[in-house]
Amino acid sequence: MSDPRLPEGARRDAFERQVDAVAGRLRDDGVPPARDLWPDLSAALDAAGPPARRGAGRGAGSSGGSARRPGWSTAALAAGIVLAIGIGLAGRDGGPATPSTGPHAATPGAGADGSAGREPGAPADAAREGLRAVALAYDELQSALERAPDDPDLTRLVLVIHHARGRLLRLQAEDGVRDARRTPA
Amino acid sequence: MTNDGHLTGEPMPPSPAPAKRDLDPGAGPGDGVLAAQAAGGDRAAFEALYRRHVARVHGLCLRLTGDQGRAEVLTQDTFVKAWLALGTWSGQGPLGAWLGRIAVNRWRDDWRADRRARARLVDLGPDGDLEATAARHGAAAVEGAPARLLTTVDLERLVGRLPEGARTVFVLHVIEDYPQAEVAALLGVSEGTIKSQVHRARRLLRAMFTEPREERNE
Repeated sequence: MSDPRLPEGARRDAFERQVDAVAGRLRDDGVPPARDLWPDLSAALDAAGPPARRGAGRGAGSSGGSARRPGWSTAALAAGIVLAIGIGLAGRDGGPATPSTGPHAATPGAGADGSAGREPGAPADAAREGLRAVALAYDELQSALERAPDDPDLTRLVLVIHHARGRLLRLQAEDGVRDARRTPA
Repeated sequence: MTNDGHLTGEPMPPSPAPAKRDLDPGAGPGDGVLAAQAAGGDRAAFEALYRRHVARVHGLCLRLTGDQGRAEVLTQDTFVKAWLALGTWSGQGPLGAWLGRIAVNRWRDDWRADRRARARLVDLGPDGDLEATAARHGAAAVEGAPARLLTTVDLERLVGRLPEGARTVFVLHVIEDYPQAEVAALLGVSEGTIKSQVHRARRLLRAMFTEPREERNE
């Protein structure tokens, strides 16, 4: 506790010491998340595959120059996945999405800005289509992760897909509620 | 290896401040045991590690991002990376510190891509209301120590009110205990900038803590 009888410098130091001591407790105690993140995380781990074995490859964020290179392009995979998700979300916002047979089969220009192939109505169909595209992207990512389980870029893509899927599921659920309200008893 | 390579490399050197759980043998299997099991694919062991360390990781992410949603994403990303890389954890340092390093590196990747955030880090200019508060109460705060004790709740709230640059540096240097030189290297700025932001953060914290309750933005 501070003592006003202390000289000025000592009083100032007392506050600094309080800050430092409390800061250490903040670090150790942490802040629990407002919701349980484990279910989402567990799903992301399913997509990520098993942990890398010791010495089998790069660690998290490693920049080891001799690490093996995967036989696929992260950029191409990411572009395909983002495009697939964009089709689903844009289709949901403005109408049915252009049918997609997979992340790389999606036609550029048909979905990301929602400018082509749209008709009013059927938002649930669009959300369903988006979820189908996300599922295909998941499959594609899973096979890439089997080849490079510790690639940090792929880890990010797992989360991107996971969050997009969650958003689509929420939109689909909201549409279901609206439909139920519109339907006469 | 360059300094930057060291910072992005992994496994990371241990933090000098281990989490309480790392030192508590009465809290179930130790982190080393659970990590070894999880590295073999044992999801239950990894969940136990997650539950043990999620508050620490999430707290760090929340302070760095200042945003609940981004903190959740960063927390999840950290644990996914940890899951994939557990087999490379040396076990020599506290697991909590290793997770913290992963979180900081992941946050840094996003931060570096945000030019405006980088500009805010070196911005030491006045910060509107907060600086006005410091001007009104700063002198009194320096001349007299606060009449009450600072609590973790107080500090958490006050850190959340700091300008982004001061908050980032305060979190990394004072809360996470990274040396100033390491923070400077991590963020790609001079050590002088780090010193200035630490000083600014402490000055603002003192002023905010000393301001009369009715003036606080609560």
